Amino acid sequence: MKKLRFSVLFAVLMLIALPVRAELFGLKGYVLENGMRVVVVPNHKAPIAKHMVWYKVGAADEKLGKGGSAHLLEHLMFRGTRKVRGQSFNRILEENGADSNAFTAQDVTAYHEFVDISRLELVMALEADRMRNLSIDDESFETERKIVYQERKQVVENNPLYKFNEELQRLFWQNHPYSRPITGSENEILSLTDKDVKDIYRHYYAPNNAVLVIAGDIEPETAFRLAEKYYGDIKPAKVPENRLKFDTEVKTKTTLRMKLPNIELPRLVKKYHVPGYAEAKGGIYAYMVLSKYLGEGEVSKLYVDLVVNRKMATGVSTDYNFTAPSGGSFSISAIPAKGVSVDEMTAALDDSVKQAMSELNDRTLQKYKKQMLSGLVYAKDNPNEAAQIVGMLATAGMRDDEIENYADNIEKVTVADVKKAYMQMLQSTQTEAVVEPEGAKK
Amino acid sequence: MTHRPLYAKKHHGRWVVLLIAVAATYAIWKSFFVFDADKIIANSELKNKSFASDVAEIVAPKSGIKAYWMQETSNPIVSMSFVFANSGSVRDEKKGTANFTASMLSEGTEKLNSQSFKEKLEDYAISISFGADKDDFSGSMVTLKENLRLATDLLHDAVVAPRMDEADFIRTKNQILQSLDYLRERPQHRLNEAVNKEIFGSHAYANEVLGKTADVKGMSVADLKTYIKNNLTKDRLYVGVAGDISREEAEKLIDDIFNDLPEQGSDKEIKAPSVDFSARAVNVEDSKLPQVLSAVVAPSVPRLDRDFYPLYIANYVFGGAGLNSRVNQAAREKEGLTYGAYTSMSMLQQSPLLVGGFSTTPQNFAQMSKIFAEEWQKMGENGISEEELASAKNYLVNSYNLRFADIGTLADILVSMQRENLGLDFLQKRNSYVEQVTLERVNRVAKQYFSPKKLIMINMGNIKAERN
Repeated sequence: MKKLRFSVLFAVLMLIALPVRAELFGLKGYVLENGMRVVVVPNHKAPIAKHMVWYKVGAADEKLGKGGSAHLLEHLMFRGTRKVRGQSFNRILEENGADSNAFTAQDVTAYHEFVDISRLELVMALEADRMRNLSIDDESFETERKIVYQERKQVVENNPLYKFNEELQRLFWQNHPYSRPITGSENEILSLTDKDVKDIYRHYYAPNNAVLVIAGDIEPETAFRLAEKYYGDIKPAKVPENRLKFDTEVKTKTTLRMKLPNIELPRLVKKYHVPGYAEAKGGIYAYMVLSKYLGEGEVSKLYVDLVVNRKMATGVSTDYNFTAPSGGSFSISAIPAKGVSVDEMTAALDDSVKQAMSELNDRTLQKYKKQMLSGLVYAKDNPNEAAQIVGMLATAGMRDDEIENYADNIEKVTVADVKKAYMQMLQSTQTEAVVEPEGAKK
Repeated sequence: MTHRPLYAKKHHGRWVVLLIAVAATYAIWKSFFVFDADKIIANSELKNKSFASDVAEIVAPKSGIKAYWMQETSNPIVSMSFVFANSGSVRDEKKGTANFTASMLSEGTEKLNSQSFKEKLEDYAISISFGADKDDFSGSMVTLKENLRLATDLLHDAVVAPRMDEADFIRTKNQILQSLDYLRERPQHRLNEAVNKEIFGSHAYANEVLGKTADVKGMSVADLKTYIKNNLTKDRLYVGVAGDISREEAEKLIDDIFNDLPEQGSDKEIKAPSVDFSARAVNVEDSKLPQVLSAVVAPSVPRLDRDFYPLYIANYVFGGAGLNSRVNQAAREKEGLTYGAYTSMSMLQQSPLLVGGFSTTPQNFAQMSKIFAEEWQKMGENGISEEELASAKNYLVNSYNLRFADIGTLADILVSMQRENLGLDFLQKRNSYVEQVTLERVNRVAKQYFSPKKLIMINMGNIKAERN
């Protein structure tokens, strides 16, 4: 299904998984008078460019009961404008050899085109056009709603784990909008109206709520001039105030235990509310180092202890999401080895984390930090990947210099910082979730 | 006298006003309602450039190993990809041997135990990986130029002197067994299994690359060592080197890594499977699935066949062009029956196939498969139009440079140019291969390969529910 478009769930790219120097991307930034932020990552290897427009709106901005409307709008953005009617958008891109797609997440919706450099202006003109001229007719609305319904069935519900994933989100995020699925539920999708999607378009699709990222064979000055030419005359809009943050005042610990048919392997996930970039700013780097140290890759502490040495698990990993503006999260996931119960796995995991933290010292910290910084040049080799990372960090609110100074910020992290981050994590609101195959013995 | 001119002038003035009004209306209409893509491209300040894709054949001096090499110095990165041809899972004695070996080659060398080996890779940001598919065993190395010496030593030792500690072997075995469990959870994988069984029957192409649970359980270190001795040899090796590396350095690199390999391995002949392509639908009931998942299979042509490009274009128009493909236009964009349908060319060495698929909820299934079959038949009967041919060529030519996005992919391209015998000048000539395809050829080939008599559909899901 290589060419399928509109993948709803996009994996959170982790900066920490990348192999920097002083400047991570060599990027240059600019802000148009209408408030549109432009970030350019020059890459002159081949005459190609990735063009991305990121809107700071996603599923978490939907009104209650209108789940899936941000995503449905993303689909309808390919269905024509006043100028580029019907299916012409896709046709023009095809004729010009562009690979184009879009995705919706909790906090962002992004549209992107990968093109020969001679077609960059074309896609800028097309993208600028659909920022203000979208036209939605009844027929294409009905059809596209059917398509997103099928998309939910195919991408979400065909996965036998989906109920577990959705329950975990619900329990973990409680009454915050992040608790709801990006696609919306089946009933929500079927009840959406064109007014629901137009509301989002009208309120959030504006240059002052967007970030333009261009990575490829172009000089920043040229890119800024072209951005001005194509996007400069679009009027800014009054964008609704930021939504509520996740309430971290009352600390709770919740547990989820599920048994599901059609799954073969048990899984364990421990999820913690920790500050993301919006709350912690420079505090995120300690969590990045913590995640690397504990569970990223096959030389991480938990992997070596639980998988290699004690053979309790066949896989263990950590993940720190710091880009979500309403609240960050830290997850530890494990798959128990055959014959190891989920309770034994949970106990072993807790024990292993404690042990790892007691062993943390300057020498080990330096080693893991060095690994995080050793191959950062790879991050800018592929314009697709560079644009994706830069777009996500920029929409999370990071300034250009913060994005570039990744290496320095990692260097500054001390053992005390990591330990403090860890202690804060332990005391945070958290969820422990286990799923087992139906019929599995305790 | 003065009236006329004045009158005439006045008269003329009216026309001017009218003309200006018309022109202004047109201009406003145009700026609001007309998008002129061609004009934007023509006036674009960024013009077409070609990628300097100079590929050279190099010969490593000691070993005599030939390889393709492309120097690209925009980042200090070196990438090497390689393939041991005809050493893939289809030739496995115990099912899963090639894949298991690929996993174990990253588990340390005679000099470095598994953890020390992995730490070196992490510390110096070196990526070394191995894999197997049905036909071939493959590997790749990506490193910073400054760490090339170390990366070379690590890859050499991984290939020539892998460690194979018992503890790592058992851990890897358990991980592969769990991967097999994981695959069984996935409906798409269960459908693929049904497809493989239906198409290839008892032929080894039917087997999953990861192997069979019983065979993986019964695997020993000795099995892997035998596999290595017979397959990781110079006689079947294809190498591509790309990035910030000179010709001399690349030649030396190849010797340093591969010269210690045995000259020859043992060949195992695999007969081409005899596939019965007669049209049929095979249904696998699974009442718990939210959707019916379908796969389609039909005959195709090998890479060097003269019909390859015509069929490539026919397939593109039918099911390869994403949302613009005929099948997506009919089933998705018009009817909203599916999130997507596609077809593509599967290039197994001994059994080239046209394959495709879609999924839809049970109540849509009959209509969806009817549309697919109708479009298929139309393709065979009427072929494509001049406009469709022109669009397809435009896409294929205009998107050509997109493949040069990263150094790792460049090395992969260099390997497949050799493996598929595409020639040293392939990158220069590829667009002309596309341009040369005529409508007559596409439609002749479409008639032959998009035949309703040779279309197999395999469906899995709650199919009965729809009938009742």
